[in-house]
Amino acid sequence: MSETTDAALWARAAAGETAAFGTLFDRHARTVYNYCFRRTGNWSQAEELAAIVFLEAWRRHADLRIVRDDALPWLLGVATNVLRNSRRSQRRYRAALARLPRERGEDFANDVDERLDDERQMRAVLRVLDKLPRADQDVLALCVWEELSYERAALALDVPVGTVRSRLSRARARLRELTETCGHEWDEPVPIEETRTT
Amino acid sequence: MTHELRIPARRDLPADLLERQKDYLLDELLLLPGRERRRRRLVLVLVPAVIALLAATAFTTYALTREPTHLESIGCYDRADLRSNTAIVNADGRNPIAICAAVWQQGALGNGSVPERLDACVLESGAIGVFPSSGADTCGTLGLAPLPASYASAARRFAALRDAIVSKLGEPASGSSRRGPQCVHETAALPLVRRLLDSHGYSDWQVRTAGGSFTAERPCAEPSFDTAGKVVLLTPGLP
Repeated sequence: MSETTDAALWARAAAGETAAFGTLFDRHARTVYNYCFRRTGNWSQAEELAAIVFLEAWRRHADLRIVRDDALPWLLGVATNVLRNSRRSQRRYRAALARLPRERGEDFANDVDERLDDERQMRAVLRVLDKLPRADQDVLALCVWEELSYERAALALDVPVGTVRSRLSRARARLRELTETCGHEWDEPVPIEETRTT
Repeated sequence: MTHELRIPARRDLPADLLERQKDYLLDELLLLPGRERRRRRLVLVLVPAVIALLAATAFTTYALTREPTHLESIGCYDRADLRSNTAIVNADGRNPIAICAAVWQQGALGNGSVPERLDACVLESGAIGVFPSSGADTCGTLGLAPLPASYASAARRFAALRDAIVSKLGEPASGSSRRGPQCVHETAALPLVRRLLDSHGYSDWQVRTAGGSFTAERPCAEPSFDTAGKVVLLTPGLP
C-alpha cells in the first residue's frame, strides 16, 4: 500500500485533522531537528526551535506551497526564517514553549559526552561559516548539509534556482579562501562540497 | 598545522521524547488560529495611477465593511504593527479590548501596565486583532477595518454556544491545565453537539471528529471550534 503523500496530509491537516499533522511531524521532525542543530550548534536549542518550526508551519499553513508532494523544502524554509528571527519566534511562542516536554536526564545519559563534542565541533564550523553572508550560509546549509537539490533549495528560500547556484558557488569559493588562510581542513561529510542535483 | 572541521552526524530524539513532543504539538495546535493568513507584501512597480487608485478604493471599501469570521480567539498585539508579538487568547463574549487589557495587566505583553488606549480591528483573515493605539485611526493606518458594532451580539451568541457545549463535554485540556471532569464518548458527543448547535441557531454548522481514533486510552470527546469553517471538532482526549 502506498504511503500518503505530504500534500494529502497537509490537506487533511488544514481541514482540522491534527493527526495528519502528527504524521508529517513523524516524517520530518528528525530532519528539522538536525537542521536546527547544524545552524545553532546547540542540541537543546535545536529541540526548542524544531518545535517552533512545526507550530509556525501550522500557523502559516495557508501559505504552504507543496511541489511534487514534498513538504520538506517548505518546512526547512520555515526553519530558516525561524532561525533568522529566533528571538522573535521564541517570544511569540513563549507560553507554548513553557509547556514543551523536555529531555529527561535518562534520555541522553549514554551520550552526554558525544553530544557535547558535537556542539564543540559544530560551533567551530559555524565560526567559519559566520564569515559568509547569511543568504549564502542558508544555501550552503540546505544544498550541502541537507542535500537538497538546487530546485528544492530554491523552493525553501523562495528565490530563483539561478540565485541558489550563484550563492552556492560564491559560498564555496569564499569558504575555500577562509579554510586555507586559517589552517582548517574539512572532514566528511565535506561541508563545502556540492551535492548532486535531481 | 591544520585543524579538522567536522560536521557532526545526525542524531535522533529518543522515541519516547519524540512521542511526547508530538502529543504536545497536537494539543498546542488547537490553541493556535489555524487559518490565519499572513498579509503578503505586494510590490507594484510602474502601475498606472488610475489602476492603483481603483485598487486602493476597492481595498478601502472592502476593509471598511469587513465582518469578523473568527470568533473563537483574539490576537492581542504588543505594537500597532501586524508583525509585532501577539498573544492569542480565547474569546469569551466580552469586549476584545477588555480581554486584551487583562492580558497586558497580567504581564503576558509588556511589563504589566496597560497601554493608554487599545483599538480592535478585523484582520484580513477575518480574525480580531487588538492593538495599542497609534493615533486617531489605528485600524485604518494598518489597512484594516474597525471592529463593527455587530460583533458584540455575534460574540455573545457564540460564547453561549461554546459554554453550552463545554458544560456538557468539559473544558478541553490545554498545556498544563487538565480537562474538565466530564468524559463523553464520541457516539454520545456527536448527537449531543448537533442538538446544541441546532438549538442555538447554528444549524448550518457541522460537527465531526478529528485528531485520530477514540480508544480506551483516549475515550473522551474534547471540543474545539472553528467559526470560520463553521465546524465543531471533537478530538479524542484522556479521561
